[in-house]
Amino acid sequence: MSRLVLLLLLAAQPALAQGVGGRPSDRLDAPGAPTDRYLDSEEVRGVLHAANEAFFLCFREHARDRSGAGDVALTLTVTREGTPTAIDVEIGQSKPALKPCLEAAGAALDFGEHDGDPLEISYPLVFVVDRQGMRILDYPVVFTRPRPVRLPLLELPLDLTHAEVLLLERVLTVDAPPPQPKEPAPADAPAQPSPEPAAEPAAEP
Amino acid sequence: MPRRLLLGCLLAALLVSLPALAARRTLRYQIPQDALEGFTFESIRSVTTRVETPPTEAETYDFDGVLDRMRSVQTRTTGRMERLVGRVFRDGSLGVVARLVDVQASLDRGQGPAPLDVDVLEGKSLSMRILPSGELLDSFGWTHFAGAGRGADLVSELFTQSILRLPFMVPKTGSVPSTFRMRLPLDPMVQRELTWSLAYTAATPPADCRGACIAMDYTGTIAELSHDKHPARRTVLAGDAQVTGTLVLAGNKRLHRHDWSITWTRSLRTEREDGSLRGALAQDVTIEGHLAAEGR
Repeated sequence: MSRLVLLLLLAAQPALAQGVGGRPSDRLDAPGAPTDRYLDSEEVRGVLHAANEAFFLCFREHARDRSGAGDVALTLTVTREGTPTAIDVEIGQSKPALKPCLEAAGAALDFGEHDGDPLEISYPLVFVVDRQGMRILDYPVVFTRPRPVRLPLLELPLDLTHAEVLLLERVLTVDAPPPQPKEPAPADAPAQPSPEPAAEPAAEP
Repeated sequence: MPRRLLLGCLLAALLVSLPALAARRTLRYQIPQDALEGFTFESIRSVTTRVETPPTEAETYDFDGVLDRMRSVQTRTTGRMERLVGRVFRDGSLGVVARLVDVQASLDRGQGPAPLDVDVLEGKSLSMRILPSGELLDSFGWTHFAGAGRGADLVSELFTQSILRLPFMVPKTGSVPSTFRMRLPLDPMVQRELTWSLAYTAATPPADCRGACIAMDYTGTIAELSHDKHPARRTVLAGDAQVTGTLVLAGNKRLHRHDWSITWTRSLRTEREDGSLRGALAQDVTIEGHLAAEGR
């Protein structure tokens, strides 16, 4: 009997090796997989952390005394080719020479080509000096501008304007704030015209 | 050994072996693993939208003005699809990347077709993990297509129809049924759930095949029940479609041509925080699609 069970398990072994949900590396979007054609914040973070040495050299050269070195942030846009554009460095109170150095380090980054829209990112550069010495912290968060998915189950013409989509979203899905109680108008007051319908919602959800 | 344990082991072994069994079909796609495949495509969609239950919020905004632009719209999208096998998984399934290039489109609201800007679709790709039978195990990249202004509505069928699940065997006399489910993760909060029920019959191969092709007609239905579970946009989409098509495989079992027609009747209802109905729209969608292999 035990041989029978063993045989059954051996027959199922290739599938068992796969695991019920598969390995993380079996995901189509596993970082580095050929089927992962879109850049996500985890991959961006990996590139930035790998470049910390280049950023560190700038700080060591131009902000060794740590004056204002805590308010530095790198902002850039990753093109589809994976190259950075629109590079800007906020240097706070640091020496002005730090900015071009960090911009050059940012320009040398390579995120790899991807199929997504250009991605705007912002990354804080935290320079610390402690008992372990001087270094740039591997900051755990890369800030990206979210592009929300709007009304994904409703088929909409592609030429609708952003304002029209927001209006649909407001009407169909976003709960409006509760109506404010109105004070009753005086009996002798002239009739008020009805308010004009808003052409565009005031804010995104 | 207790009989129950033996039975449990047997069931577990059968369950985990199902993917391997599914791969042992007599009819499979041959997707080249060392070459880029190219297809030309055309998709013509007619969409009519009407309000069934207007949300009370519609009175505050110019809802009718926007609805007028959605009432009846026809689009025609053409272009090319490039397909490449990115990886082969240990269970024999393929990780395929399908990319849209040279996409052009026009839009018609009854006053004649006008060019439609579809730059947002150019170069976008979808990754699909499929068995050689065409069974879609997983897909990734929908988030970059889905939602207003991103163009998924124009092209989503092209991806799924390029790997339409094949019947178990080539139909010769009578029909061969094929029923399957398809799950498309548009967003972490939204999955489109489609149940296809098709019957394949033998068809006459097109003349350009010189008799070496396998041609199959199919007809059937698609049922959809999808939920958007995002707390800010609770939505339920229910729909039914009639589908017909002709699928032609070349002698080497590569996709040669696929023509299809789908007629959807969809009902979309949005809900308030407490689960009550907020508004309901109905959409009738007719899709005529064509995919043809290049260079063959």
